[in-house]
Amino acid sequence: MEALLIILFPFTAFLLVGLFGRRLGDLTSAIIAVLGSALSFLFSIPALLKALNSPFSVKLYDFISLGSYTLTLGLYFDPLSAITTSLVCLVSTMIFIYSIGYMENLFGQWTYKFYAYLSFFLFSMLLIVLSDNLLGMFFGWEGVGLASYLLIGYFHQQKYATNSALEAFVMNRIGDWLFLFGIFSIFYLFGNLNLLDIFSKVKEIDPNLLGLAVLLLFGGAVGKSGQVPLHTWLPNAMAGPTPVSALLHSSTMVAAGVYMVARLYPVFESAPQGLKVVALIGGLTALFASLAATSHTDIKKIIAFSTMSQLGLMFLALGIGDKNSAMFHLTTHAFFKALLFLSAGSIIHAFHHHARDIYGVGGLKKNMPITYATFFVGALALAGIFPFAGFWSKDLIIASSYEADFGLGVFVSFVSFLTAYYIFREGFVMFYGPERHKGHFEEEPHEAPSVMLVPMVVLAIGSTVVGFFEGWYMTALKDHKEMHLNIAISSVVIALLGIGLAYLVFVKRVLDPEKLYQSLKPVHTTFKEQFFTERLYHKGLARGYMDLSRGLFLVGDRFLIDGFINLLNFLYFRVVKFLWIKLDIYTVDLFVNGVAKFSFRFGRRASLIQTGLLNNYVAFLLFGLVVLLGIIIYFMG
Amino acid sequence: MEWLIFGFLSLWLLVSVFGTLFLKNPVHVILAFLSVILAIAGIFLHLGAELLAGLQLIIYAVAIIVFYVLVITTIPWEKVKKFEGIYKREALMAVPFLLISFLPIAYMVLKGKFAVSQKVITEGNIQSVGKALFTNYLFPFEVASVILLTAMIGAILLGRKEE
Amino acid sequence: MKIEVAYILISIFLFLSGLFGVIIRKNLITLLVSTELMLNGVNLGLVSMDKMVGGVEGQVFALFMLTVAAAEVAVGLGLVVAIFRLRGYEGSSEITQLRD
Repeated sequence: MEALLIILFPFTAFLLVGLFGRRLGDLTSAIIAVLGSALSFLFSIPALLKALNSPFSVKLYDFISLGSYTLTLGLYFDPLSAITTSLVCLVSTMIFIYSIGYMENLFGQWTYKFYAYLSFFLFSMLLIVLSDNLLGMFFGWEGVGLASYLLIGYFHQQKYATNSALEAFVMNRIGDWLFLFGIFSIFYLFGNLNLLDIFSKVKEIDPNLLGLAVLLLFGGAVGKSGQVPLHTWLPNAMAGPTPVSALLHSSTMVAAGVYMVARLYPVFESAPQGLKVVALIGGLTALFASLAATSHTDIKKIIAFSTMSQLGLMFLALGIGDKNSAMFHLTTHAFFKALLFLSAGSIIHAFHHHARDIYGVGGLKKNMPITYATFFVGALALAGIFPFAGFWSKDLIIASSYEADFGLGVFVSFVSFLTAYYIFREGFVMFYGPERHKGHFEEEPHEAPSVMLVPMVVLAIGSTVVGFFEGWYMTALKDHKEMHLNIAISSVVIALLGIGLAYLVFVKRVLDPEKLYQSLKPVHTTFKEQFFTERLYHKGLARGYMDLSRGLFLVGDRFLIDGFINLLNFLYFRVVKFLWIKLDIYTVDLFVNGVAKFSFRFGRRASLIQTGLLNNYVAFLLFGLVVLLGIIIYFMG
Repeated sequence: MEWLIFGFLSLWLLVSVFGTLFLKNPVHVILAFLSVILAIAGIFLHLGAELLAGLQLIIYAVAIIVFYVLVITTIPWEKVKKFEGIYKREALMAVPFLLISFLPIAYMVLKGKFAVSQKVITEGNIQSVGKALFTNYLFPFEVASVILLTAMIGAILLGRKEE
Repeated sequence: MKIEVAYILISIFLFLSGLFGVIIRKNLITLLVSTELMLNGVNLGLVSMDKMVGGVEGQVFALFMLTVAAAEVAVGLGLVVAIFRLRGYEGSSEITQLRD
């Protein structure tokens, strides 16, 4: 029963705020949303404790019976889902509290909608995490997609925001379409959508068919998590408010793809070719996103590319067989990525939402010390420096990749080098150096209000501490990881190299970044344009599709169909006129008039018989007599 | 012998008939008609219908002819002159029909069988006619007188002057 | 051929001649004369049939016809007189119109 409440709290918050938000007011709505999330977190703890020892299911209800199978809704708590639930609820609560401060200048302008959307998002996310069958997961999948659209386009007066929202939704939809076909294939192969039943039967299915189903399911993950090739929406999704970026597009929603693969891992494991594809796409995205992050200058976009890259690493880990490392990295990533976004949001808020570019601000170290501290905590965690959380989880992934293949390990190390470089590049540019904002803003940027700072600090503490829970985490998931000391030391060294490079270039100015930029311009542009994929999608596919539609409209609709209809119209009138002339005038009228004329003429002629002359009448009598005679003779034989 | 009488009487009749048909002057026509009557009376006598021959002479030759002559004399000569003669067109039209009607009847008469006489006449003609007239055909006899009465009234009405 | 049959032929001829006369005659009086001719023809036929078959019914009928002929002449001539008084003429072509 209590387990059900975990889902119900955010859903109730959504209903209350959505229906009565206008009357309740914005602040009350925010508090209700926060309460919904916090209570879910509180109730998730006992469920977690229970699930660690004995996973349990909660059946909600059956709603369509298909004869051989009944579609149901239910919840399943096992260590994986329970831990993720608690993680999601905790991070959500922190971000909801933060958003009260971030959105305060918009209070009084129907901001209750924002909290309604956020609560709805949380509900759908929990549905994904906790559902015990693929149908419930799909409901949640769609729900988070919808929430993402609503929230990215929250500043709906800005055209860039609405376009990004649409792009996100469409790309997500493509992924969802693949995911749906994956579910269909699963149903076709297993006859069942329930996770436990699928896991038990997975050995009996032909691996090739299973491989196809797995690829389709992974397609959904690609769309949801912003992997190549469905990736261009993620940087553009930064048009939404920072809490949205922090919650959806860094820690929770985009993580749903990774979670789904981890959840269905027994199915993926039985189709090894599928796993290879997962690893390939993950690795490709990781490299691609890190290269793009090194060349962008938008505050939030760099962090967004970082998300894309880290998710790629998680998929890589899943692909090479190490599910638990990937999930642990997901957990730690949620903390420090949300922290990075909140810090960036604090800076944006300090400049009253006018700051966009890292080169638009500078030297914030002395103005915003707490933000500075939290940002660097998050950056260190992301880079993977001991003792922060990222070190532990990234180390696991590097270790697994070295185990799978030496070249793969080198690849992942290179990616972490780049990761350390770009995040510290952003940090050094923003917090050190000249105060570039002096000319544009009159007032001094001040530190964020405490309602924003407290969640940031909490998350910072989490980023520091969570790493030490690795042992406990692995035991919960029935696994055990060895710490390879040489790999640990080498990964820290590589990360420090990355930090050092950034420091040298951007703080000490050993190599002038301007000159470097000029000389490497084409390379830089290629990275920045995401290897021109965004151009390709926007100009090529979208514009091409619109042109094709317009062309078809002009040819097909205007020319063919309209022309055909007009032709029919014209012909019809011609035919009718012709028929009218022929039939009506010539035949019918002719006939009718002819009959009348004939009657007249015949009558006139016939009336000549009536002479009035007695003699003539007697003659007629004679004629009649003859006729009678004839008849008599004929009949008398 | 019979055939001789027949031939004579028929010839007389034929000539008179042609006169009736084709003469112009109405007075001549009436005279020709008189001749026809006489011929017919002769034929009646030949056939043994004495009563009828007598009656024919009395009624036709006396009454009817006198009628005609009376009426003719009331009409002025000039007026009568305009309407003498025959219609040529109608004559041409009617001749073929007449022929058509005469020939089949003649054929039938010649080829047909007539009933054989049943009775044997013992008494004289006048007696037998009188007997039949006053016993079997009394009613028609009376009716005939009524007809004559009606005709008389009609003729008087038609003939009187409008004052 | 018997005499009576020949007389029957004569009677038919007489009748048709009378009819012919009715058709062709212009003057009303001569038209009526032709009518009488028809009646006479019928009488002749009746009498000759009578002679052939025996019995006197034919003659009786001929007697009645004679009577009727007389009556009819009276009436007809009355009509002619009336027409003459009205129109001043007595041609059959003058009485073609039912009204003026």
